[in-house]
Amino acid sequence: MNESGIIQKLKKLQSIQPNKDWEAKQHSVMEAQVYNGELITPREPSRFSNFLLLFKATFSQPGIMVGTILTIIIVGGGLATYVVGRQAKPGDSLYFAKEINDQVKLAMRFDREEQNKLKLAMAQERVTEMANLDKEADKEKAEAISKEFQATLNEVKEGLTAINNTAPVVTRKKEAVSTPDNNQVKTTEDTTTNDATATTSLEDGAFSVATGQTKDGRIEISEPVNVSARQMIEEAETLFANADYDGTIDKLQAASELLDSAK
Amino acid sequence: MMSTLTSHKQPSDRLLFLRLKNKDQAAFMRAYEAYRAGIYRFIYFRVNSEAEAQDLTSSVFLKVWSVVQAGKLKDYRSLRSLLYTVARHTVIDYYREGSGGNVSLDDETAEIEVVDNRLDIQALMEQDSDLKLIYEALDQLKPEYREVIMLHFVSELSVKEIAEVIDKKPGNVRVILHRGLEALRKLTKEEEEIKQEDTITI
Repeated sequence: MNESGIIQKLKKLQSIQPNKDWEAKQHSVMEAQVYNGELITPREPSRFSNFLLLFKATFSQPGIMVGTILTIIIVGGGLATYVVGRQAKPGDSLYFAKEINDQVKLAMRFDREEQNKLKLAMAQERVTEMANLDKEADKEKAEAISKEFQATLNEVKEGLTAINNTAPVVTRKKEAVSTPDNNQVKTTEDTTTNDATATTSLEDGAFSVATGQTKDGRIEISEPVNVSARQMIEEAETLFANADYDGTIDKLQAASELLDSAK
Repeated sequence: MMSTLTSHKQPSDRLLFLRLKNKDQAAFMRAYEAYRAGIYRFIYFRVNSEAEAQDLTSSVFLKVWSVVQAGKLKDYRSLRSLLYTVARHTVIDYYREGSGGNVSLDDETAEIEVVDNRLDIQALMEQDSDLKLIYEALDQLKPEYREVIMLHFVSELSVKEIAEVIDKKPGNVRVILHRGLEALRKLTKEEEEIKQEDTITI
């Protein structure tokens, strides 16, 4: 007989039961002992009181109590740091929480373009922070925000360069109408994908390489979206330096939308 | 009163234990109903006498109730652990006081005293010759092995509960259980071989 066979047979011994008469008699004896001979109908506690009893017993255990308190401190502290950190500005003591939060958000994005868009959004936050800052009173903070803004945009530009070097180029055709009185550029959202560098789109072979114009005087320039976005970012940098924060945000927003349209 | 007690869904072992700590009479009666047969069986296999097992079972529950009333209930892993610990000590005291002789599990003379259960076991063994083999082999096992095997497979206590009952570490209990089962398997095999030889001789 193997081990499982032995165990099966041992379990059969569970069928041994006490004598029924003894059981009945003993039950009465035990009730008399427990209730002191009084004929009281026992009241079962409600589910709620049972729950309270279990709850109290569970959380009064030292290990569980310490664990619960530690969890509350860690989770509560983390949440508080996150909430307060969201309002923090560069130079604030809780700014690190915001940085960690941003790093986590970045780490969650595996697509480089998505990372660039997120960084652009972060740069916009820096601009808002700068706009709301009393620059005279908080020179150090203003400097820190500027550095942070510049660093973020530099990362985006590096990211765009990396995409340019690895991925097929997404081009965006600019239709420029040459007029004597102004140099307005009308932009159409015609995006195509082709290879390598910026290409020149010909229109029915009527394009003059020498002048860069078509017969009807239009100039067609096709350039990679990333290059356009980079230019917008550079413009945003200039606007930021000139304290035109609304303009900076608009440019960054436009750069972000441009990246979005290239997807 | 009985119907009132049994009409509700059986509360968990842990909840019963907590209610007992609050000296809850109804909880004690529920515990008594739930564990009476198990405790009786545990004692019965130790003393091998129905009358003694009945007395000792009653004694176990009365002892527990007096501890409950005195508010001296220690924190046990479960109510089962508490009851089997008290039952074990009650049996030890019973032998220490000299009330029980060194009765073998398959002692022929004990059959005169025992009526219902002995008949139950006999009937079981007549139906199942393998069970008889195991029952006889159990008697030859070291008491320590036998106790742990019975607690685990017959009383269905967990290793941790057994550790609490016999006051050993769970790791030790696992080792005892493993060795006990191995010894039981060997003994059963030997018994089988002897029986086969006897059959061939006849």
